[in-house]
Order: sequence, then C-alpha cells, then structure tokens
Amino acid sequence: MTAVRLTFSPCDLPLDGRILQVVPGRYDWIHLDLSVPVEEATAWLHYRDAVDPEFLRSLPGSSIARIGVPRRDELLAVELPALPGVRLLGTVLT
Amino acid sequence: MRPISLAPHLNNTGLTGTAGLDGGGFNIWGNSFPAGELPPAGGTTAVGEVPFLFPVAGADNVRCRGQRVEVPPGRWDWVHVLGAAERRTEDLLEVHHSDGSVRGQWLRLSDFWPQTEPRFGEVLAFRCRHLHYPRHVQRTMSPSIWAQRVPLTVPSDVVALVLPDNPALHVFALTLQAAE
Amino acid sequence: MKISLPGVSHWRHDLGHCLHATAGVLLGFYGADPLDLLGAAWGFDYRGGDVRREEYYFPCWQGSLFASLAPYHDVASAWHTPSSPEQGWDEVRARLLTGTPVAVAADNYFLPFRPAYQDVHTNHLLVVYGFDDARGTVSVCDPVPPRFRGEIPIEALTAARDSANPVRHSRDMFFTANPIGNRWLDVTVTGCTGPASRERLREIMAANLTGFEGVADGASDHRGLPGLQRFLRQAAARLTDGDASVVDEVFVVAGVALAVTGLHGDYLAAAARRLGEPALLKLAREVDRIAHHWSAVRIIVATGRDDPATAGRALAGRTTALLADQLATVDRMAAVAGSI
Repeated sequence: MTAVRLTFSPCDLPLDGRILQVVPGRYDWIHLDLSVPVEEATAWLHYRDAVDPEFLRSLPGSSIARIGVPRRDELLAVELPALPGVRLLGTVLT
Repeated sequence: MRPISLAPHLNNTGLTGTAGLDGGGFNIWGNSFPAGELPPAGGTTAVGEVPFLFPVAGADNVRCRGQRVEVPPGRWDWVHVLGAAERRTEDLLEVHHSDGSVRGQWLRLSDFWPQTEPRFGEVLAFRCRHLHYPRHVQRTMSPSIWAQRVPLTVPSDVVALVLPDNPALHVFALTLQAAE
Repeated sequence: MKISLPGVSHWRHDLGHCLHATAGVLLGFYGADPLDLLGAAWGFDYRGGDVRREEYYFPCWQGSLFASLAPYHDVASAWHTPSSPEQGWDEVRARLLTGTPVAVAADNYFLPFRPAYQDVHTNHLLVVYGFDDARGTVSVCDPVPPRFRGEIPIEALTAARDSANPVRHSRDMFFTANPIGNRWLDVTVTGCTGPASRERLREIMAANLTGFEGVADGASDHRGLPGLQRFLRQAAARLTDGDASVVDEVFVVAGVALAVTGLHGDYLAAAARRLGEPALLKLAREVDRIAHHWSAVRIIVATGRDDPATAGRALAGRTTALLADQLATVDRMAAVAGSI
C-alpha cells in the first residue's frame, strides 16, 4: 500500500455554506484541511447533470476531512456546509 | 481490491437459463436476467478495474433487508457494488467500525428495467439483450445491471456493512477497494 | 379510409407508468411540455377505498382525470363508456377523423407488442392515433417498455378493449378482475402557457404547500401530510397484524405517489436550470429522495403478501423515515419559494 501525499491549495475561508467552483472534471475525493475536526456534515456536490448530497467527515485524529465523489459525471462545484467557527484552510481534489 | 462473498445473504433469484424461466423472481412478476448473457456463475468478472465475484446459480443476489455483511480488517476507501433496483432508489449503507461507531454512506442504484437510463452516474456493467419472463423470453427488452461505488469517508477499522432495509435494492456482488 | 395523425411521439418518465406516459403523448400532441404540466402538482390526497384495479388509477378530485393530473393548467378529459365493442370503435374512429388522438384502456393480454401478450392480464392505457380500414389496422403509441409505435390488427385492439380482464393465475395481480369495457378517453387542452415564470412557480409551490397542510379529521380522506401519515401508519399496522389485504391498495397508491413525486422533482430541476436557482436544484434533489422512499414502499408491500408481519414492520420504519424527510423537504420548499 503506497501512501499518497496530498498537496493542498491553501485558503482561509469560513465554512458558511458557500459554493466553491472546482476545475471541472471527474474526481474521487475532495480533501479539506479544516481548522477543527468535523464529525459529520453534509456537502452538496454540483455536477454537470446532477446534484447530490454527500457526507463530509474528518479522518479520526486529523484536521483533514473527506467528501467522496462517487458519481461518474463532471464535478463543477462543491457547496460546503455551514459550520460556524470552522474554517477551510486548504483543498485538494483527487 | 477485495471481492466479498455474499453467500450467507443471497435470498433472491435474479438470473435464469432458458430451461428454467419460471425459477426467476427478480421482481414479483417473475422477471429475471438471462444467465447465458452474463459472466459465468461463481467466477470473477471485472467491470472496469473492479473485480467482482459473480453470483452462483440459484439464489444469486441479495434483496436488501438490513443484512449485515462482515468485512475483513483493513482500511477501505470504496465499496463497489454490482446491483440494480426496482425503480431507482437510494438509502444509507451502514458502515460499522470496530469501536462501535456507525456511519452512513449513500447507496444509490438505478432501475434494472429496460429502456431506463442510469440516474446516479453509475457505470453500466451489463445490459442483456433479452428479459426473461416466467413463460417466455422477451427479445425486445434489455435489462441492466449497474456498477456503483460507495465512498467510505472514514476508511479505518471497518468491520461490517449493514445493507439498507429496502427490498427495491438488489446487490449481486460487492468488492472493497483499499485506501491509499 | 385511413388516417395517421402526425405529432404523436413517445414520452415517458422513468418513475411513472402507462398513465403518465399516455398523458405525456397526448399533451405532446397539443404542443405542451408534458413535464411542465404533469410535474407541477405535488401532494397526497387519497380517499380510502377509492383505488381501482387499473394501471392508470389516479385520485381525481379536480373533476376529470387530466384536470387532476395537471391542476395548474387548462386541461380536461372525459371518459367514454360505450355499450359494445362496435360502438367503442365507432366512437374512437370518429374522434380520430376530427384530428384528435385518444387514449384507450386495453388488456395487455391481447396486445401483440406487449410482453404480457397471451400471458398476463392487466388494465393498461395507450394512445390510438390512426387506422387503415383497407388493411384492418389501427395505429397505437405505447411508450411503456418495450415502447411501440405502429400498426396492429383492429381485431387485437378490439379484443384488448373488450376484455373481461380476468384473474387466471398468480401473476394476474393488482390490475385485473376489472373488465376493460371498451373505455376510451379524450383530452382537451385549452391553452399552454409555456414554462412557469418565477411568479407562477411561487404560486404553484405555495398551492402545493397548502395542500400538504391537509386536514387531520380521522375520516377516510387522507389529505396532505396528516393524511399521508395516517394512510401509511394504518397500512403498516394492518400488515403487522397479518392482514395482507391492504397490499393491493397500498401498492397502487404508492405507484401514484412515486410517479407524482418523481415528476415534481424533475419539474423543479428543470425550473432551477431555467431560472438559474441552485437552491431550487437542491430542493428538486430532496424531492427525488422522497420519490426513492416511495420506490421502497412499493416493493415492501409488493413482497409482503406471504409475510405481511415483516412487511408491516418494514413499512413502519420506512414511514418514519419518509415522513421525516417529507416534513424537512416541505419546510425547505417554503423557504425556497420565498427566496426565488
């Protein structure tokens, strides 16, 4: 099993329900570097032909959270949950 | 990739041969998929890069009613499913961890019914040329089996998956993909 | 003489069946967008015992079938009940000659293009759009898979329309024991106003929301969310007690709810894209989720005949989940309607 080093694009944004545009494409995961761990929240994935709610969860003991992107469709944007006090410090899509 | 045997949970006959049409019951009208147009029973078949243990003959799929599927220890990123629904549907797959925690992940499957496109971005795994009825083979109907994937946002210490209690969902095969 | 009316083409929604498919074909003939008309209304209004054993059953509280299917548009329909197959064909033929396609009820058992041909009886609905006296054929359009659009012998259609639609074996379920009676339906479309404007969409959403308030009067009327809850809870209780007689009624009503909800989800999604409203797109997806609950309800009861107690418990759990999501979606609908 090969560990994959993720290179986050840094940012500093509140998790306030905003919609983040992404480079359109097919992805497997959205990785988020958050200021505090999040047990569970719902993000909305906006694809070219659909929109789906998906779970956002932090990895145990980590500030890194993940959102799965199961749909085989072009992802256009991610609508983040509104979580007062939580900030988004970086993102990477794989 | 780790194909998982669903043998303890198989409770529905969705595939039939032409000699046993009336043995099928994917839906309550006794429709079934033509086994002769699908991979050999009990063998491994790949859909894209995902290997699946194709079901054996007889009871060959799981009509989902909350069955608990034990999984081997490991870090699992994805649950790949071969399946189809009686009218598209979705429900939470329960992911059970060794510490007792349970997390839900969406399992979404499109309709098996002919002339019905996928709704959830699945990959078309198989589309048969015929649909079996209890008394005849319908040559103008093409039923589908889909390859869907379910992300496991927390990949570690997964010990079991509990299928939804949703009998409209049918699962033929299930494969785990290890986390990177 | 022969005629084949133009402008008759397939239309189908994946969560509907012959009723909405036939309605879509006929509305399309009049230049309407079937989704626009059939998807606008969302609600639950069922009177206990009203269900009829026909694939095209729909609760009709707005007068006619089409007025009930599309209550926000100027459409209507009328059933005709001829006294004989000869009269039944004469009436349909005469209507076709006016340039109007019609819907006819027909038993699949006698329709050569249906998988149920010579196998399973059912009370089905399809469109007739032409005939050829010399060839002895009629032209029919049936979008239900395997979709068919073309000619069949007039004798076949006559047999299908005049069928007693009996129960002969175990797969003659739900839509049998209900003679077809040569019934046919014609539709009038007074005007199509095109896709709803923002203002009209707000009005429609507000009307749907009012409908969901319903009346919890404990009678056989099941209106709105209170009625929906009562209908499903009562069904679950009866099944849990071992009473499988409720299976047919719930299956048919669930099929209607599934179609109506699925259509409304796609209606909202189309409006969202047209108006550029992401919140409306998410709401549409939430309505879809409700439809997916109905997919489960339908199969829970369909597979419950042999073990009603298990089906009852499953339906009880599903009802709780469906109602929770429905309530949340209705609340969100009120919020979104106020913001678009």
